[in-house]
Parts: sequence; structure tokens; C-alpha cells
Amino acid sequence: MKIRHNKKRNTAFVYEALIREGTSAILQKDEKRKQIIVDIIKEHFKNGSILKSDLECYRSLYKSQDINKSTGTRIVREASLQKRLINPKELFAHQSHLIGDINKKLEASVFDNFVPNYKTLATISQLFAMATPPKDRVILEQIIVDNMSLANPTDETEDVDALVIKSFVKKFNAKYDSELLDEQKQLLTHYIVSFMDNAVELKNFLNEEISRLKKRLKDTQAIEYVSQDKEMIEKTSQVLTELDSYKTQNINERILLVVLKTQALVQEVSQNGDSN
Amino acid sequence: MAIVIKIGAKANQKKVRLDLNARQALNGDIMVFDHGDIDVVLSPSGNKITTFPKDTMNDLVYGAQNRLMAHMVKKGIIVPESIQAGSFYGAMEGTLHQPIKEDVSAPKLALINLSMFINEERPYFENTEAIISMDDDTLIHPDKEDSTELGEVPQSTSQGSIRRGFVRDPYALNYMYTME
Repeated sequence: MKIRHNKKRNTAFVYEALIREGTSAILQKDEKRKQIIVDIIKEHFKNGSILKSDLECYRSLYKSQDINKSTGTRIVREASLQKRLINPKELFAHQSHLIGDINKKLEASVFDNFVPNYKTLATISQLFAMATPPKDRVILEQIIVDNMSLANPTDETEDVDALVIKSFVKKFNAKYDSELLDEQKQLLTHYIVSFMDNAVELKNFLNEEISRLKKRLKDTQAIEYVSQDKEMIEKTSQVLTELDSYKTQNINERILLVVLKTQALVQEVSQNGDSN
Repeated sequence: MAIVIKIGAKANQKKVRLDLNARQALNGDIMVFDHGDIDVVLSPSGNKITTFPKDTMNDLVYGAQNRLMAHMVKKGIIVPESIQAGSFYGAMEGTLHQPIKEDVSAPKLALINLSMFINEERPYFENTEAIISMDDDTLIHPDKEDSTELGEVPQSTSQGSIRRGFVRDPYALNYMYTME
């Protein structure tokens, strides 16, 4: 059975990735980006369009849940039939247009968005592919029908193999390797593995790191260009007060964000101090 | 039975076996999770012991931290004046004494004494855990007095707390309460 498939040619995947990008733009209050995404969706997935018909074929297989196996089998057959009625050349041309629009108006990283049901979408794509041998097609049909008949579909995110982890780590490192400080990477590492040991290692790291940051911030208050600037002294004191308050607060995301920012601040202040 | 004879300077050396629920971090810190209220981190590189609340900070946690530090001071492991609150939630830390003899390892002695402290306290926190567990049991498996039998409940003229014929509005039962 095929292991890799071109996700850009998977209409449902591209649609889900666009929806996620749109959600992200809405949460970040990026009106311009949101409008571009909405325009792309309205243009390519309008009623009667070939991409909409293709998307409906996918949706009828991954959206239907808690149905009996015989109905599931009939839905799979009907969806496969509908899919065959779509002109592949025309579909390819429309998909190329959509991919081009995303690349030009947004960026190619939209396709890197994490879609939780990506495995199901890949299976459906293989089922629809003309080149899939009959035996594989029957097996895939069985998998899809089984998924459709589950009352509570299992969370696919739990079943992540080493290859996926490797790919995540590679992408994370490519993006943040040069942007994060060593101490920030350490903090994130401790945070990620904190589920294993009641977060004791993370707490211990934070205990040491907050002490270090407080000491460095107090030292910066003695630097000449800081001590002469009333506003900088006041702001530094505010950060120190904030860090002091963590004696009485349990771990939460806000604390981690403030510590990450303070680490960057301390680094910046010390670098500027050295250069002066 | 085979007899093992050891000869040499290390022949009479005693081995200490500790039974602890512990984990070693990559930087060499040893985290001990045995105690019911606190987690303890022994840091050989930082030469200190730090304690953290297991869950939320409360008087029980502070009591356990206080007793551990007092135990360590009494045994001569921790510098008394070094005991202080840490920078993070409920942390309390103390610095280990620097041994005069080169062949004595302060972190190893600290770990042995930590194990002794946990063994001393074990009956207390295990008792607390047992009481909490019993409390859960009374809710999950109530005794006959607090539960209804499974199966079909037999019919009877008065059943449950609602009595037939009583008018249920704010002042309807006043008369009955007055009589009682």
C-alpha cells in the first residue's frame, strides 16, 4: 500500500488546512489575512464548483460517524461513484489554481498546518485514486467503514509514530533553532517532558532560573545607563516584583511566557551593557 | 553453601541499599517522590536539597518541609542558616555542608538521611492516604444502611421521603410542624 501521498492534491486536506489558518487569523485579530482566506474559500469552494463536489465526496466519508456497517458500505460506494463522475483533468486544473492562490496570496506554510484527521484523509485519498489495486481498495474501504461505524472515534493524535515526531522536531528546529536562547530551549524541554515526573524537574529548573534572572536584573539596575534612567529602573523593579510573586503561584502558561520573555530581556540588557 | 572471602582494604566496607521511588535528571539531580506531601530534589552539582509541594501549598506541606530540614540540620547534613524559601511556588531549599574528609560524599550522606526521614514519616502519610482512600470507598461502595438494594424495589404504601396527600406549597406544612 502507498505510504506517501501528495497532500496538496487532497482537496479535503487543503480545505481543513485553510480553515485552521483562518481560525488562527481570527484569534490573532488579523483581519486582512482572514479576509484573504475567506475570499479563497468562497471563490474555490462555492456551490456547484468542482472542488466543492470533490470536497463533499471526502466529507461524506470522514464526517459520518456512529452509523451501521451496511449503511457505511453503501455511503463509501456512492462517494466513490460520485468521485469517478468528476473530470480528473478539470479537477487537477482547479486544484492547481487553488494551490497557486494559496502560495501567492498567503504562503506555502499553510500546507504545514496540523490537521488532526490527516490519516483518515490520506486513506480516503488512496481509496479514490485510480491507480489503487482492487485488493488495497477493499482493505481501505473496510478501514473507512470501520471508522464510520465507531460511536466515539479514537483521537488520532494519540497514535503518533516516530516518523511523525521526527518530522515535527525537524520543523521545530528549523524554525526556532536560531531564534531561541539556550536557556529558553532548556525551559521548553523541561516543560514538554514535565508530565513524566509531576513537573519536579521543571519546578527545580524554574526555581534556579528565576533566582538567576532576579540576580541579573538587580545587577543591571547598577549599570550606569540604567541607573540614570528613571523609567528603566521603574520597569526593572516591576519585572522583579512580578518574578517575586511566583513564590506563591503554581505553574501556569503565563508564568512560562513571562520567564521566557525575561530570559530574552536579561540577554538583551547584558549584551547592550557589554557593548557600551 | 559457598563461602565468599574478601581480602583487602575494601573487605569490610559496608554497602547501603536504599529503596526509594526516585529518578535521576540529565543534570545529575536526584528527584525523590516517596513522601506523601512533598517532592525532594537532591542536587549534587548545586550542593543543595530543594523541596516542592506535591500538589498545592498548605500547612501539611510546610510542616513536612520544616521537619525534613530540621532532620537534616540535626544530622549535620545541611547548613542551618542556609535554609530559605526558593524563588518558585512553595519551594524550600538548604545547602549541604562541605565535608572535611575527601572520601566522604555529602550528596550520598544526604540521600541516606533523606531515606531515613521518609521511612520515619511513612506511617503518617500512608495513614493519611488510607483515610482518603476509605473516604472514597464509602462513596463508591456504601454500606447497607446508606444504599438501596439492587433490582426491583418492592411496593409499599409509603415509600421514599415524599408523603402522599400533602399539599406542597410554602405554607402548607406549617400546621404539621406546629403540632410537632
